[in-house]
Amino acid sequence: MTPSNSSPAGTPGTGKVMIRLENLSKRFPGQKTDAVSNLSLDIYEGEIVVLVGPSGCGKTTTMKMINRIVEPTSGRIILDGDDVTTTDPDALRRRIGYVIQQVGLFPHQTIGENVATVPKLLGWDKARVAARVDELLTMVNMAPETFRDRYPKQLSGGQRQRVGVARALGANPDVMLMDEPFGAIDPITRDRLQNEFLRLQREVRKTIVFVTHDIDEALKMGDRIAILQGPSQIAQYDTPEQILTAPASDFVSDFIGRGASLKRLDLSHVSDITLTQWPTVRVGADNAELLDVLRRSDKGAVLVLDDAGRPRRWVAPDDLDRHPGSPLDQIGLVPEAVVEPHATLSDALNELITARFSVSIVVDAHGVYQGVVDIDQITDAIRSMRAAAVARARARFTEDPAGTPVIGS
Amino acid sequence: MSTLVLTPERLAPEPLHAPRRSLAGYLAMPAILALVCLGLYLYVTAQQLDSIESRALTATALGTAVWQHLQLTAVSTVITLAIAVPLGVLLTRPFARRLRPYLLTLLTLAQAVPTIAVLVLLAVAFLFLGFQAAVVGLVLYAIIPVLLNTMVGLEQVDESVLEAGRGMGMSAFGVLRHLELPLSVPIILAGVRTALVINVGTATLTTYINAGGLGDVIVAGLSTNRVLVQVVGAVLTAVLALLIDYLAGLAEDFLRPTGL
Ligand SMILES: Nc1ncnc2c1ncn2[C@@H]1O[C@H](COP(=O)(O)OP(=O)(O)OP(=O)(O)O)[C@@H](O)[C@H]1O
Ligand SMILES: [Mg+2]
Repeated sequence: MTPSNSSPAGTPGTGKVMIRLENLSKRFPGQKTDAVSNLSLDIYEGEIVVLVGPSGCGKTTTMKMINRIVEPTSGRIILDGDDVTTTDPDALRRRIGYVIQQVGLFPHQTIGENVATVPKLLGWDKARVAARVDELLTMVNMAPETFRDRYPKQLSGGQRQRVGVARALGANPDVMLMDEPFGAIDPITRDRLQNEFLRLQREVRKTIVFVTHDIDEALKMGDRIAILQGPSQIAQYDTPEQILTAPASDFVSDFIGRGASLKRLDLSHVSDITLTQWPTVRVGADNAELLDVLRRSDKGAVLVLDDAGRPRRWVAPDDLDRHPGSPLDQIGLVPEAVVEPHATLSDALNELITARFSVSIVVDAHGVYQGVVDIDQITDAIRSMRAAAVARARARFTEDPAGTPVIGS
Repeated sequence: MSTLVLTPERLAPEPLHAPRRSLAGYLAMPAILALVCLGLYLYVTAQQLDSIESRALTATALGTAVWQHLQLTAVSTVITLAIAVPLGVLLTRPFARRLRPYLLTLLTLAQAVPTIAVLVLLAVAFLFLGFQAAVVGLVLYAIIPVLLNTMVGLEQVDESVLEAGRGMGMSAFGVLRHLELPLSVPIILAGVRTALVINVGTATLTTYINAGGLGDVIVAGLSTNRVLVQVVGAVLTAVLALLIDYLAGLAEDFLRPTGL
């Protein structure tokens, strides 16, 4: 089967295949079965591909075959069009950034020296190395003046992880391999590092192979996710949206676990859906205008906007009766459920559940009212996402009944 | 590049390691040893020495003995290192994994044979006497601790550090030179210290094969039944052993890579 070169819409990649694994197998010496068996996978340029799956399914082994820390027993590795299956491994590895779970900083070298490892191996001159080190440390949020001359022992776990990432970016490789890079870190720091990393990736646009056993991390980090099932099977290789809405098998649904639809809400944003409008008046409006607006809608209150268009109050007819003559921005309730368009549907849902009138108010970056989201819109969104995903999966299946384009035999 | 906010995670660096020792700590040992020597000198000069004693205890005789002793120790230690460290490196390479248990058994057996037996064997069986024979005996004896420490030192290096090095494209030799050896320095040095101390002690035995050293003084005292001479020889040996141990300790403190 010929792997397709097209990258489905919605992912940031260029559609060019950066890493192609062809029928890769690995059997460790003395083992009766393959750790990885006949695996084929196309990884597109500029994407984060997450290998995820239960423990022992061969994620780490697969990843380590790409830079040949583990030499494949059979199969081919094609990096950017070159067959690197049998070329000089040291040269190959200098082209590929590598972050391992235990970070593996060199304890007897300063942070600066650690980060300079690959540039030095490539024989860069001193000034260029020094400039690069500072640049990289800044990139991962570590002030060079503060950290350059410290030793790994003097850093916190999260800081070490960042240095590990900076070191892997050393000579600006096109490809990065990361094995559970945020594994052994507390959830809060991990979340922050993930966000930092995603922001960094938006700038550097590397091709990244990312290993994790945590499906939530996979959904968050991945442009595309390969769910591995045992040594010889990719259960599904697809975008997070598609995996959540159209899991390819029971194994995938089980692996995603309960709450797939809720997780799906994490992947869509308020900006993706059409907002509904709520009756509004400006702060200066009089009672008659307010009541008129209200009468023409089916709602129980009006949203009062200030002169700049920012939501100020919910005002119901009762409030007018109770505080006759008061300015509109001093009566009623302060709106609390306010989200921006880049918020996820999950955030919006979370807000609206507890909100007055069961809506989340959407404002733009300047706080100007844009519309509201209610529960019906969210259920509609879920329904249409599912329909679209099923249609996509079906289209792909009829086009190519053997499965998705990337699964090997 | 992006400008990012600095996250204030523990900004103050911890000290790298507990301060090595205080200055007084460093000076204590040499001061004690100097006092012992001074005491010995005063004691000896206060004695009425007979002709045998005064011949054995001249400054030149003692100076020569100390010098020979130092030479024996230094040469045998250098040779020990030159053999044991590379051997330790070789034996920890993957291809030597299978050979290793046999070689270690052999060397441990060799070490069980007392040095004096080795020296006598060299002298009797090979008519091999003097300085060089003594060095051979000492080296055979001191190889084991250095070899074992080298191997343990290399093997305790964190596997993830080595994998990170290899994964970034360091050659096998680069990994050895820049990661494995520096990171095992503290443990290798501990082995060297052991070897030095063993060599200072056993070098007293080499007098029996004509290699000189402080053993000459002790044996001269024994054979002529002069306790004073025996005491001077023994005390000087002890002082030398403590001094060398002290110097090796200094080396350990200062050669340990920063950051460990
Ligand atoms: N060096 C090795 N020698 C022998 N077997 C190995 C070796 N490394 C891995 N294996 C085996 O290969 C299989 C796949 O291991 P791998 O480390 O790739 O799993 P993984 O998916 O990364 O799991 P985890 O999530 O636990 O890290 C496992 O069954 C493991 O026991
Ligand atoms: Mg793993």
